[in-house]
Amino acid sequence: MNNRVFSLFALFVGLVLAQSLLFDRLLVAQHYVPYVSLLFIVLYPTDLRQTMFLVVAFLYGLSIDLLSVSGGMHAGACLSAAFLRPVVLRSVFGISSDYSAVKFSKIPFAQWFIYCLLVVMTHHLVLFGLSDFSLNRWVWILQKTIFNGLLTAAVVSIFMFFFVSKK
Amino acid sequence: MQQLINAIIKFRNVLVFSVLFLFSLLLTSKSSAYHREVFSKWSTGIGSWMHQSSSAFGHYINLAKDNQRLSEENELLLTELLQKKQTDDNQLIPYKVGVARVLRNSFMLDYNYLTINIGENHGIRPEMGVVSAKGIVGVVRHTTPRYAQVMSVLNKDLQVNAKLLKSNHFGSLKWTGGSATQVNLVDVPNTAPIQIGDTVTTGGMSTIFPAGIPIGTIQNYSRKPLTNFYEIEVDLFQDMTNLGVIYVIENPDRLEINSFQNLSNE
Repeated sequence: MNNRVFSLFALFVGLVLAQSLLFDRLLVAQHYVPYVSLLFIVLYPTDLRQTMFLVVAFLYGLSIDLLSVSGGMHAGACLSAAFLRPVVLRSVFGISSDYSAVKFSKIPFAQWFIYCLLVVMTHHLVLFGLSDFSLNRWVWILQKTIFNGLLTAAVVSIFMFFFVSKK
Repeated sequence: MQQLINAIIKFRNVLVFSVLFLFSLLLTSKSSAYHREVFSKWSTGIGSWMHQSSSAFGHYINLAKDNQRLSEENELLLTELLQKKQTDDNQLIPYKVGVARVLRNSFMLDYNYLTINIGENHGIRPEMGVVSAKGIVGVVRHTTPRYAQVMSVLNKDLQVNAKLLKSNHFGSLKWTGGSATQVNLVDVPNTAPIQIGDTVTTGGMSTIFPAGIPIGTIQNYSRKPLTNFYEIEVDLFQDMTNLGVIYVIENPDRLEINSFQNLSNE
């Protein structure tokens, strides 16, 4: 258990630093940023308590916000992704009641990608929504959510495949 | 209480999410000038809407109180107006006004009365004049500690001193029954210049009503055969079938003035 907590903590710190110091500067097509930090949200163990997950996700986003000086946008976005993750898990993996039994290591890549994409899209929609904060710019927000979402989901899925298959 | 705790436990994730999300919104709103601007615009809009809704609701709830306040204001204004009129006429009678509500009002009979919701406890005594915002209503006849009975202008027993506003010719206002919107003005000498539509007001020759309280307009007139007087039909300003708030006028010098008149009669 302690080992697991330590791994999570290391992932927490490592990804926050990687996102703020490295990936935030990696602009793709001048507009899009791969939010690799979402690995933490998608990989967070499904058998741990959801309430705790919400608090951890909020603190995780807040840490990124502190380093990126972005108020509470990442905190809100990570929190929303964490809040909706059980719904995504149930709809993607078809487990109606006990989604905590999901073992990431035994999932086909296509399913991983869809799972990542949905979590990422939730996160991005809230993030860009909070960032622009204007209903008049909803087309731009949706466009950015979709394209940046595809980029992030692809990067996260690849990383995830790498992380999980190593276990 | 147990149910509340159960509900909180059941919806704890939603609660935690809502609280934390609000917190993140708060942080975002402080993050840049743009966000501060947008949030301030939103909060102004929402705040104004909520304020408007709540004040509309408050207005509705406070209608009774507002009515009461307006009646009291009217009472004060009417008192001041009467005193001003008296000052202008060089008659310094310190009239006082009390506000009341009509509880019962009859207008279908030959001898009609009103009941009002103030009485002796409020200083109401018989022979006080009763008016509305539009014109005269009647004269207090009987009182109990909490209520008073008012003889309506639609009562065959009531006579009120009246005058033609234009020419200052005096007469007596009487009701002969029939229409609830019309009264008769008698004893106006036929030398008076008179036209349909002329205004009739109280004459101020009695101690009940001050001079100049509106009564109505001349609707029709004719010369009374074999006399030197007109017979005038007057349309009342006040619809006597629809009375709400009324004002009772007190002349504090009434008894003193009446005592002189009684002496001279003797």
